[in-house]
Amino acid sequence: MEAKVKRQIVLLSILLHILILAFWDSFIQLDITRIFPAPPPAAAASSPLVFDLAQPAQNNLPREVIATPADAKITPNPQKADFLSDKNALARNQVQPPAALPLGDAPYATGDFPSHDLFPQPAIPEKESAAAGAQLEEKTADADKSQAEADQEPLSGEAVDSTLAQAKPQPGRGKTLPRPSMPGVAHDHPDTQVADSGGLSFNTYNWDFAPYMLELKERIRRNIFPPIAFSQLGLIDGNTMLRFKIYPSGELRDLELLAYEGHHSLMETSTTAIKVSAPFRKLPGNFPEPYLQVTAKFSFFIKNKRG
Amino acid sequence: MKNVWEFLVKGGICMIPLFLCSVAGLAIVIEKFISLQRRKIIVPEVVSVLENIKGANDFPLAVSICEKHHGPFANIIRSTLENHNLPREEIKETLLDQGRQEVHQLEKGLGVLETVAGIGPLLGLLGTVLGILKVFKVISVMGVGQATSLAAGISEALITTIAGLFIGIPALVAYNYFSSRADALVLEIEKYSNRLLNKISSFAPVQGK
Repeated sequence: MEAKVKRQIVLLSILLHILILAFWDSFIQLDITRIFPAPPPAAAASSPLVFDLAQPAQNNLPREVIATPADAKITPNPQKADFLSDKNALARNQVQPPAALPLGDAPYATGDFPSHDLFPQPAIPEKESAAAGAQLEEKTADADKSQAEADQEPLSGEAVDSTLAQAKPQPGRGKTLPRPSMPGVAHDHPDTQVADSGGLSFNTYNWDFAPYMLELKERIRRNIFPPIAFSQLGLIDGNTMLRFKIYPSGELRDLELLAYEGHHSLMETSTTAIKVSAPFRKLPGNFPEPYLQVTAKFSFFIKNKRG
Repeated sequence: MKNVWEFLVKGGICMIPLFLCSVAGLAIVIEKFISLQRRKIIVPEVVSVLENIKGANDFPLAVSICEKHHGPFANIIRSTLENHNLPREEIKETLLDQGRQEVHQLEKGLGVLETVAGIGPLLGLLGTVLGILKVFKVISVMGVGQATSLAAGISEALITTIAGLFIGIPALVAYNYFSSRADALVLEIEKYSNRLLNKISSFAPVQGK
C-alpha cells in the first residue's frame, strides 16, 4: 500500500477519534446516574428548595437600655423556704431518683450530661469582670487580626492543625471564657451524635483540598446547635443533604436543600449552620474552578436507638 | 464534548500514549479492512486464467494478465509461471520463497495491532496505579476517614483503566479477526498454487522421450 494511502488512513483514524469524542455524549453515556437516575426524594418534591441568602430587612423593634434605679427595692432570696415551687428549696433538698428506673419502649435520655446551666460559673467580682471583658475584647481583636492575616494566604495542613489545636480548650492554661454564640444547652448528649466523617464532597479535587476541607468542617461543626429534642432528649433524628457554592472570596451562594429526612428542625439546624459559618475562608490562589461546590450531608443519629 | 474532554484530562499523563495507541490501532484496522478483502487478494481474473490454462502455450498470456494485477496472489502465480521451465522441486522452492514474502505482506501491521491490544490495558493499569499513589498522598494528609474524597480520587484513577480496556478489547478482537482472515487467504492462495504446480508438472515433457 502506498505511503499516501497510509497517511490518509491515519488522518481518517484521527478524524474518527474526534468524531467519537464530539458525539460521545449523544451516543454513549458514561455517567451511570443518567442511565439509572436516582429517585426524587420524597421530602424535596420535584424541585429543590432554594434559600434566598439576601440579608433580610432590619425591621427589629428598637431596644432601649434601662438602668436599674438606685433606689430599687431588692428582695433577697429567702434562706429557708418550705415550698416545693421555690428553686432554692429544690436546690437544697434534691430528691434522689430510685436507683433503677423502669425502662419502657419509648426513647429516653439518661440525663447524665454536662450543661452550662447546671454548672453555673462562679460569680466574678466587678473589677475582675471588667478586666476579663477588656481581655476578651483584646483577644477578639487579636483573633480577628490573625484571621485577616490568615485569609491572605492559603492554608497548609500544619497551619490548620495548629489552628485547631489552639481552638480547643486546654486545661491548666487559665480561665476559658465561654463563646458568646454558645447557647446554654449542651449538645453532647452521650447517645446523640452528629456525623462529621466524610460528610463533605467537592466538585473538584484537583487541588490541595485537604487543609481547606478540614478547616471548613471544623467551622461548620462549631455552628451546629441541634434542638433539645435531639441533643438532650434523643427523641428526633434525621439526615440532611445540602449543596452550596463557595466563591474565591469565601462568599456563600446558592445554598439549596437537596433532600432531608427526619425532623424538620434538624434540617433547619443544618442550613443555619452553613449560613452562620459564612463567609468562609478564601479559596487558595491555585484553585482550578470558578467556585467550589460543596455537597454536605448532615446525619443526626442516635446511638443505641431502640425500637 | 466538554464533558468528554474533562473526563479524558482527568486521566492524567497516561491518556496520551493511550490516545496514540488508539489512533494507531484504528488506522491498522481500517487499512486491514481495505487490504484484506478477498476480491483484492484472490483476483477473479487471475483465477479465471488459471482455470483456463490448457497447455504450456497459455503461460505467456497468464503471465501478462498477472502483471496487470498487483497483490500477493498475482505475484506468486506470476513467479511460478515464469519459472515453469525449472524442475518441479525448484519451482516448489521458488513458490515457497515467494509465498513467505507475500504472506509477510498480508500480515503486516497485525503485530502492531496485537501490541496495541496488549499494552492498552497495561497503560491503563499504570495510570490507575499512579492515581492510587495520589490517593495515598491524600490519605497521609487527611487520614482514612474521608471516604468521599478517597472515592473521588480512586474513581479518577480508574479512568485510564477504562480507556485502556476500551482500546484493548476491540484491538484484540480485530487482531484475531484479521489474523484468521489472513490465514484463510493464505490457505486459498496455497490451494491455487498447488493446482498450478500440478498443471505445470503435467505439461512438462516426460524425461527420456
